[in-house]
Amino acid sequence: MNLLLVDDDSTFRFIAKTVADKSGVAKIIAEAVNGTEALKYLSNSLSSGKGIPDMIFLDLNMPEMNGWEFLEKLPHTLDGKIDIPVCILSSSISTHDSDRSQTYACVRGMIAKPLTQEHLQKMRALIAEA
Amino acid sequence: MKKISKKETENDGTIHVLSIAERRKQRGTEYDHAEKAGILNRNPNPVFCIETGGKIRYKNKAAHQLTENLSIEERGLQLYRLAVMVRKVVKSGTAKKLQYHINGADFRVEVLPRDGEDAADLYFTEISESLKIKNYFEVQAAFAEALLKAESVEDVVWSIVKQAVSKLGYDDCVVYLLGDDGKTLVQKAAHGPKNPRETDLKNPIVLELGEGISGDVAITKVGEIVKDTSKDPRYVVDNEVRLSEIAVPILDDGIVIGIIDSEHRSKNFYSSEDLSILTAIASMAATKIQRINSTEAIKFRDITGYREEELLGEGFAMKELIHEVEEGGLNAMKERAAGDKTPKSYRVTLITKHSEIRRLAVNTVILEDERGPYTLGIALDITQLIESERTLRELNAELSERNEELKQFAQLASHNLRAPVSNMVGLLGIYERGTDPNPVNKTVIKSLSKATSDLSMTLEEMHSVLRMRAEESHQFGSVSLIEILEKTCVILKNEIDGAKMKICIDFDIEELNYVRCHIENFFFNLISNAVKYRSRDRLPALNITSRLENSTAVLTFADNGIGIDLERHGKDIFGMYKRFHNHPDSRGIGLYLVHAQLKSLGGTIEVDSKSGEGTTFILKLKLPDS
Repeated sequence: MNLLLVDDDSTFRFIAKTVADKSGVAKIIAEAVNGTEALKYLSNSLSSGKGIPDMIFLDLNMPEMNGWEFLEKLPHTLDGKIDIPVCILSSSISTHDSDRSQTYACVRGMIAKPLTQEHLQKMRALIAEA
Repeated sequence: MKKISKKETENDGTIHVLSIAERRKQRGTEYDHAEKAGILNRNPNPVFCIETGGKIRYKNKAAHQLTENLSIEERGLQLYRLAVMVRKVVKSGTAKKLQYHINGADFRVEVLPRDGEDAADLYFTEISESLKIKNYFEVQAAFAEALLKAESVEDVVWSIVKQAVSKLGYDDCVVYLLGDDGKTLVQKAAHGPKNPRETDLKNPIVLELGEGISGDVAITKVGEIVKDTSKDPRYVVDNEVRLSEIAVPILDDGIVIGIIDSEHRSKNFYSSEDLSILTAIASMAATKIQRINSTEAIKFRDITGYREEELLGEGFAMKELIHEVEEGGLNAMKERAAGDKTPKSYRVTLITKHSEIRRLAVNTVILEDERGPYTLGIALDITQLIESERTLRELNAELSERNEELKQFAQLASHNLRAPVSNMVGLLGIYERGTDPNPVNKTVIKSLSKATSDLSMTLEEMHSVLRMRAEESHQFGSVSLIEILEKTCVILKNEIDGAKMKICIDFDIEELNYVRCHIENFFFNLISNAVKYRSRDRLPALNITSRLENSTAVLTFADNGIGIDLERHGKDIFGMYKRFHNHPDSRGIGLYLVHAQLKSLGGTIEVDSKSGEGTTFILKLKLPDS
């Protein structure tokens, strides 16, 4: 499972990368520090047909473009060509965030940090079912 | 031309020049009044008329009484002394007052020379009586002073007995006031045996109007002396039988408002002087009581800044003072004007004489007496109260703002701390354990893991509390207790199985209309507590019951665990971060949440526990009206 990790926290990105490497079920193929950078990466990937992730791991609180803004703009970037599922990562998942995430068809799950191998396995199973 | 006999300086410093005839006439009048009042016990006529030569021109019956029992020699000596006095007085041409002792008694003798004659008239007054009169004046003066300080009717009645009656030498005295029903007399103050100390009143009695001598005086409104109570059928025994009684009414504008009553163990104790002094005291007391009872009027004067005569004078319209009438007040006024007699309450704003704004709460009621219906209005100055309310509202708003800021800070702190803490947990998770040969590092990492785990858990709990507090609306819905129990048992499967805990249920009601997440929290916390605090001496067991009591659902969770020392921890049991055991998983948050959630919806929680035997929690859930 190839992942695009969108998170401004470099420590978390290091943890996520290590956990993914150890899990053997996931690999972080690209990292972005905010929504803008992530959209740019996706746009380039779609154009080149290379490096298209199986899933996007998305933090909500980020500078420049946060997770919610990214979710708004994602369909436009993908332009109906492909459906990439999103899993939201957050250090505190509130009911409000959970309810709001339900309004985006691409969101398939929410994970409370820290990321574990179990989380990755669950997400992989989810993609496999789809 | 009228002969001028003397100049006399009065106490007030003015000089009156009177002829002897005028003086005699005036004295006669004084004596007449004194006799009627019963104050002076003396003959208004001269006892003797003695010539300067010693010849007695005239003497009356009193003269015989003065000299009776005297020997002939003694009588002759006394007459000689009187003749000497007359000679001196006539020679000086000025009337004199002299002290004179005769027949075992002291007298004041007034010697008045007769115009153009070598003779003088002698008037005798017993000095002991004179002292009594002086005492009466002193009593009245002391009572008047006490009345000045009196602020309540109670002060007045106690002043009657403490400042007046006690100084008159009476054994006993009680003051009655007319009861609220207007049909009874109630003892309010006493001097003597009925007053053991200070303002204590021993066994106060109540008389019907017309009952007893006091009750009768309340009807007749005339003070009365009963010389022998054993012969008076009206006499009512109070604390003991006494043989004479005096009762005077306290009259306010002709209406009896109380009675001053005194009794004495001897017959014929009270004299007309006693009647006079008590009548005077009653009159003074009535005036003061009237003033106290009209304090509201005085206060209204104070509120408006207008003088009483301005408020009551002609051409003054109360409505001119009214600046604003609150909503509802105008309707009340219109209804009153239209003949509505029901009590009305409203608020008005007045402008005082000094242009100050005053807020009043007004209550009016229509009453009726023999002169017809009239409006009784009571106005309470609530200016200060309204100002206090406004200050309170402002403080409350400020407090809410501060509270909101504090809540936001807590949320921010909780959220911002979670990211680094989760990173710490994550980093420790990927740390390659066992790779570092240094044993110290091993201990450091182990301790760091423990500290991080604790910090993470604390943040999680803090978040739970904030989340609960942030819930503005509680969604009620049908909740299945069986379903919640099964779900909880799945979550706590490892713990329950590990402890081999047996859970028994006895649900009278299985479905509740309540907030689902609250019920989930109750089950989760109380079941996990039962597991955590199980006894190692026996297999753990938990009984869960449910029943309905009116509009309250009662849930009980009874375990056979180690129990809680309620004497020691009872008052803290539902406090945040209160822990009663050294169990490693004890966080002191679960019971706090259960209690807070129940309380937020009007419910309660009780705990019954004995150390070493087990604990029962009784949750009373207030169900919404269906």
